[in-house]
Parts: sequence; C-alpha cells; structure tokens
Amino acid sequence: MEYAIAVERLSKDFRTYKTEHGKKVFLASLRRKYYMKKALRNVSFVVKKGEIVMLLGENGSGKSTLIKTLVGILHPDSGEVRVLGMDPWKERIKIAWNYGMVSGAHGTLFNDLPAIDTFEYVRDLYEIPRPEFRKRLAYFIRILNLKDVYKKQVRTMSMGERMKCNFIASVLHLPKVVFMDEATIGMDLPSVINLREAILDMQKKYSTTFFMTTHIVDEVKALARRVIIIDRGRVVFDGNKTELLGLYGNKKYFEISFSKQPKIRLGRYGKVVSRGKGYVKLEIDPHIIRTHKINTLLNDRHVLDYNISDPDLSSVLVRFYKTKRKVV
Amino acid sequence: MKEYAIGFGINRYLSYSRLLIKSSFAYKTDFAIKLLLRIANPIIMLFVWTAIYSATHTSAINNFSLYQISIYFFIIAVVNSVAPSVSWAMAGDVRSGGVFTSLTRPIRYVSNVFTADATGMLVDTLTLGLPIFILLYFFLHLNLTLLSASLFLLSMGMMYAIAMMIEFLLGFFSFFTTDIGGIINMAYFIISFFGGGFVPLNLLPPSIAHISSVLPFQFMIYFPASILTGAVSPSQLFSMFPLAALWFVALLAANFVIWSRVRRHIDAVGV
Repeated sequence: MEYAIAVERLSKDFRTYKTEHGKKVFLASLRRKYYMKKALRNVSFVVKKGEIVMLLGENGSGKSTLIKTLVGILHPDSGEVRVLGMDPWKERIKIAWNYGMVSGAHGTLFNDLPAIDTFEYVRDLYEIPRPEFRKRLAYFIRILNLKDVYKKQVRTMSMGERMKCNFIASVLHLPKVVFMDEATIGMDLPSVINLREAILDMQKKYSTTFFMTTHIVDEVKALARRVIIIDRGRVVFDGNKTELLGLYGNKKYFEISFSKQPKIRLGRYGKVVSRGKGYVKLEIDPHIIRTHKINTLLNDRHVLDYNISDPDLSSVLVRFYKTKRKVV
Repeated sequence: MKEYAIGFGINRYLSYSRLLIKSSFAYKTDFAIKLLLRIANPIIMLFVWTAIYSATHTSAINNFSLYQISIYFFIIAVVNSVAPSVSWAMAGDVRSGGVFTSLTRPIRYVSNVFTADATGMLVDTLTLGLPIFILLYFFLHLNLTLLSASLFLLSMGMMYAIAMMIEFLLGFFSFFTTDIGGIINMAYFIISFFGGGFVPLNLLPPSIAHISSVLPFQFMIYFPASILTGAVSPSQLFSMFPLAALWFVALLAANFVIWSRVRRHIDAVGV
C-alpha cells in the first residue's frame, strides 16, 4: 500500500545556543555557547492516504522540526522520509505541487490587498484553470462562511477571517496532503468550527490527508481518530484516541455535590482528584458502579447531585506529558 | 490537476509581480513622501556645492563645473530609486517567516526575491526615477542625445546587475545573524564612499580614487551618474566593461557558494 507519509528511523540534530537572561545577556551575546540539540530521534510512523493525524507534544518537543522535514525544508541526518512516495529534500519543488502548508505563525496573504488577490495569485501559481478555480473558491467560501469577506482588505479582517482565508490560499490547489501547524491560534469558536467542517469535508470529498499539530484538545476530539505524541524528539505514543484515553486504566470520574461532608470515607470508593467547598471529584473503577457499591454514598442525605463521566482528553494529556510515558 | 511542473514557470513569477504592483499602490501618499525625500538630497548638495564654488571663486574643480555636479547628484537620486534592495527584503523575510512560506510553495526563493525586487524597481522607476529625470531635463536643461541616453541606460543595466549581486550577498547574512541592519548600513556607507556617492570619484584624493578604480562600487554610482554630465566618455565606459564583467562573474560565483552554505545553515539551525 502506498502511504501519504512514511517516516523511517528519522533523526535530526540542531546546532543551537544557550540564551541567557538578566546581566548575562550582554556577555552571552558576545560569546555564544553552542550545543547540539537532538530535535528528532528515531522517529518512525506511516500515515495512510485520507487519514487525519494529530501530532501532539509540548513546546520544543520537535513537532515543527518534523513538519519542516516532511516538507523538505530540513534534511534528515539519518533515516528516510517519503511524502507521496517522494523524497521531500531532493524533490522540494516537485512535491510542493501536491501538499498544502497552513501555519498559524506564517501567513500567506498579502495584507494590503483583498484576499481574492492572493487567491488569484495561488490560481496562477498552481496553474488552476479559471472555471475550476471559480468552482473551488465558491466551495471554500460557502463551507467556511466567508461570503463577501474575501473581498475585504486582509488588514481589516478579524483573526478568524484571516486564518480561514489563509487556509483557502493553502488548499485551493486541492493538495493530496495538508500540513497544519497550529493553524487555529487566536481563532474565535465559530471560525474554528467552520474550519473543522471544511477539513472533514475535504477529507470526505477529496480523500485529503491531514497531518496537524495543535495544543487545542477540542480540535483533537473533533477531528482526529489517530494521535501521535512526540516528546524530546521521540514518538512516545502512536495510536487512536480511545487507546490514549484508556492509557491510565479504565477509569471513570465521579463528581458529587453535597450540602455537608458525608460521614462515609470517600477514599474507599476511589482516588480523590480534586476537592472544593461542597464538591469532590473521585477517580473510580467502573466496577464500583456496576456492583452498586456506590449506592451507599448516593443514598447519603447530604448528597445533592452527582455526575459520572469518562476521563477527559486534556487530563489524560497533562498526565501523559508529566509522566513522559513511552508506549510505542 | 497537473501533477508536476518542471518548466521554468515564468507565469508564476509574473503573477507574483502583478500582485506586488497592486500591493505597492495600496498607499499612494507613500510615493509622494518618497519622491520628496529623493529630491531633498540633491537639492541640499546643490546648496553645499554652490557655496563651495562661490567661496573658491572657481568655475571648475578637477574639470567638474557646478552645473555638472548638480546633474551628478540628481542622477544619483535616479540611480538610488532604481537600485535593488533585496538585502532588506531578505532580512524582513527571515524575521517574518516569509522564507518558510516561500519554501513551501513550488517556487525558488531566490527567484521570488528577485521578482519582488525587479517589480519594485519597475514601480520606483516610474514613480520616482522618471519624475526626477523629467525635472532634471526641464529645469536643469539636461543635454540628452541618443548616444548619451543609450550609454546611460547601459550603465544603469551594469549598475543593477552588480548591485543585485552585492545585495544578495548582504541579504544572505540575515540567515546567519538576527539583525543585519547595521551590516547593510555599513556596506551602503562603503559603497557610497568608494562608489562616488558623497563626492565624484575624480574629486577624491588620488590614493582613494585609485582604490576605487579597481572596486565594483564605481559601477553602482559613479559611472551611471557621470555619463550624462559628460565627465565620462563613451570610450572610457567601454574600457571599463571587462572589469565590470569580471566583478559580476566573481560576485555571481560568490553568491552560488554562499547560497549553498545558507541552505546548509538553514538545515543546521532551522529557519
């Protein structure tokens, strides 16, 4: 099977320098102390065509370096990278015809002009026939709810409008693979939802592969079935969301509100994870619910309300980042 | 959809150029201010040199009359309007991440920078260079013949080619150090000094004029500015061609070497 992205034992080191603070800044700027940073270490994974994969990791974990290597800006020190069967470093321009890059940090729009001017430039850049361009533009304008907005000067647009237009400018050529590097930074919720809809629609309609980095947990929940977590340059998790959620055992959260602290010792039902005035959150084993052991607590006259929920992705991720657990 | 384009793809750069032209006309008052600033410098020089000529009670200094020196500084204003400025553009690209955006498109970064500068040159020639030239023609009664005009255009071409090579070399520095504003300004000072930007080269002390005569900077200011003053004859200009060509080839080779180092540096420390 031909993969959209195939990475095999990829490693990449960087030469960087130590930044100082306070009084040492001046001296440090005169004599920089360089050191080698292992940005990527033995990274291996494959992404199937039409898959949406979220690349997660803390700041400085190697996410952006990985994307830069996948688009051919950086050369691997060792290992092999293939995007649509091509070597991105050797065939940077050739491969650029077939992917789109959406970056939250680097816009592609011309600020002094309406977004339509950039779209027309993209049309010429990727040699999109005019009728096809009009068709595609109408599709993106509709799905991203940008009617009339794209005729406004980019400088006067809201952050959400600008990011959506930036997305259009990066995908108008209907690339087979779209790389998105924290592309929803600063966007308002309606715009984020529009963008998610566009991503899912593109995946369904054109079988586009999306390889995305984000720190927004809702985005992972809404878009990705598969998650790759990278920590200090190593892949520490590669699996689906359900596996990630079940990583710390099959636990549930049990939240109780009460008028007065129940006399029963709460610790016997599970681990107290948070506590407030008239409120407590427990991490419990589901068998406590199944075996009705919890009923004793629920029948306590001081209990006002309760809620049982699955572990939420953000708490799993926070725990994961803290423990740096290697599972692959 | 087309899979790959292997060809030269000139249309992609022309489209970029059209976009830049539109973008440069977004703020029209900027042109008026730029034009005023461009004219201010030769006018100040005119006052200074008028004072020098009248104080020395002479009609010519080293065969340069006051009229010629006035023409000289106005032509420098035209030259400066047309001269490339890719070093600033590249420094801006490195800071803003424009390099990253270019490298993710099916275009060559260096070609893209060149396109942007050539477009800027076209716009500035029409909005700054030409108005100053017209001013010069009608108010200072510039003696323009077909031969002098052709030679002037030829020297401007020479200026643009050599200046572009030097600008690219300066621009490449921005990949190695964060802020190159100081380096660019220092380079501009050296270019102006040895190129005849402060005073015509034949008014400089002989030792400095001698150093200048082997450097490429004279082709960037002195030659284009002197042609129309009559201080440089056609035969003198033609005799300088081999040196100009030699400098162009040497600078071009240096650019190729440095660019491959830049690519390696981007790979080593990121962009």
